[in-house]
Amino acid sequence: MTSSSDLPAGPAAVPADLMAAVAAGDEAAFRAVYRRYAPIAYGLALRVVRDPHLAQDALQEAFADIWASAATFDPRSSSVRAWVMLLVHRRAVDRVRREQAERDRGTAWTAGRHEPAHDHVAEVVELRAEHRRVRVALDGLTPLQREVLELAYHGGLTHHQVAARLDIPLGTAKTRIRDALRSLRTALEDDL
Amino acid sequence: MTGDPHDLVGAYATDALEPEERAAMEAHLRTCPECQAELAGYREVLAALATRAVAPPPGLEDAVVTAATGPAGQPAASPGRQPTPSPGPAAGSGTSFRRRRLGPRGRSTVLVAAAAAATVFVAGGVVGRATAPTLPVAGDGTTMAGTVLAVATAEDATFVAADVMGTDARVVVSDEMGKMALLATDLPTPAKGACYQVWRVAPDGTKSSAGVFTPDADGLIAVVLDAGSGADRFVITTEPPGGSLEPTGQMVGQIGT
Repeated sequence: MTSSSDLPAGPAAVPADLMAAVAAGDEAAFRAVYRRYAPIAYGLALRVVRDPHLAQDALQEAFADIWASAATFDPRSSSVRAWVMLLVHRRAVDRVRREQAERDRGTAWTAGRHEPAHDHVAEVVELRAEHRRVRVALDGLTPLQREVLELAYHGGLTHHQVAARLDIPLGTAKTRIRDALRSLRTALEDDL
Repeated sequence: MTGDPHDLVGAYATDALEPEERAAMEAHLRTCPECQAELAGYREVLAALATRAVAPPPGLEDAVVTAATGPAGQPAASPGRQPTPSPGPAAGSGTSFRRRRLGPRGRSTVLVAAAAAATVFVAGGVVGRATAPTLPVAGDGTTMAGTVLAVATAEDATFVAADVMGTDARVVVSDEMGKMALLATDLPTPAKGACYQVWRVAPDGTKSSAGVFTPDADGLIAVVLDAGSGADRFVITTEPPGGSLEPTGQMVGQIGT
């Protein structure tokens, strides 16, 4: 068991350096990365899969990916946070699609799944200041852009499913997703 | 499925492509610096959207580390994984999740992490009385501390009076979360490996378990319990290891008036 006092945790730690240590097989650094990002990663996974057990599975798989592919992390092209979150999101979406495939074997897509869900866990902390900036950026999107982003990113739908669900052409769906991201990027540019 | 691959960057960034589209996009990305840059930007944007932090269950860290760093090909070991803290009163509304390969769920609200108390007191500053930072910290320490902190920093967090075995424990309740965090620094260790169990007392006097805890050898404890809703007070008893279905032991303390 590693004592946490050995860990370069906290704001002083430089995540890019941590990743180099993880790539070198440093378990303490891996734990530090976990501790730093697990809460937002779990928050995202829960939002996508809407089930604590599936979210934990996704988190576990994603962190196995992080450990296994840390050497491929390139600090020049990505922040650690973005890299971690992309691996978490991918695993979460895989989970959703697998569950969905199981469900769909007999039944249709469960209506109402994308209604705002109540939280299954209570331990929720909004990162307030950060949340405000993102809120403003999201407010800058059109309602249609927000909807498409919610379905594609948090709902785990493919753009085909998004198009079918919203009854819009596929081309429109993919353009709208891209426009939404582009708009967010412009709004958040100063912060990134 | 044809068209300009550039158009798919957004859908790719949001993991919204079918597997074959994803493969095609990855092939395109390898040769298109423009798309690479666009994708990198979108990924930062999407990561920035994650403003909601949720403390993972204690124990997940060790499970994650074991699964990741263990021998290749070894399937993720489940035993380390903790049942999720009680889903709360809203659980089961509408959705019935199939039972997954989890260990016994009998003690689902048990979040015992005695050593975490050290982390909370030292790092969190929740309790003014800092303990020597040389105390050992269990693997769960940080996640447990995160959970306790989440309750302690909730917008509606309120301190309530607590008495456990005549010592001062501190209890923070968040009604919104339906949780309370109990922190104590000098609790006597219960006899013969027994544990403390907290009971919600409903207005009609019926008691239901809010969780169990065992302080470490130094009497430290930081634990999150299910405050639920509708209980106006809590009592604490000593119970056999793992707790009981209803109070059987001696009453040793109470929380609230």
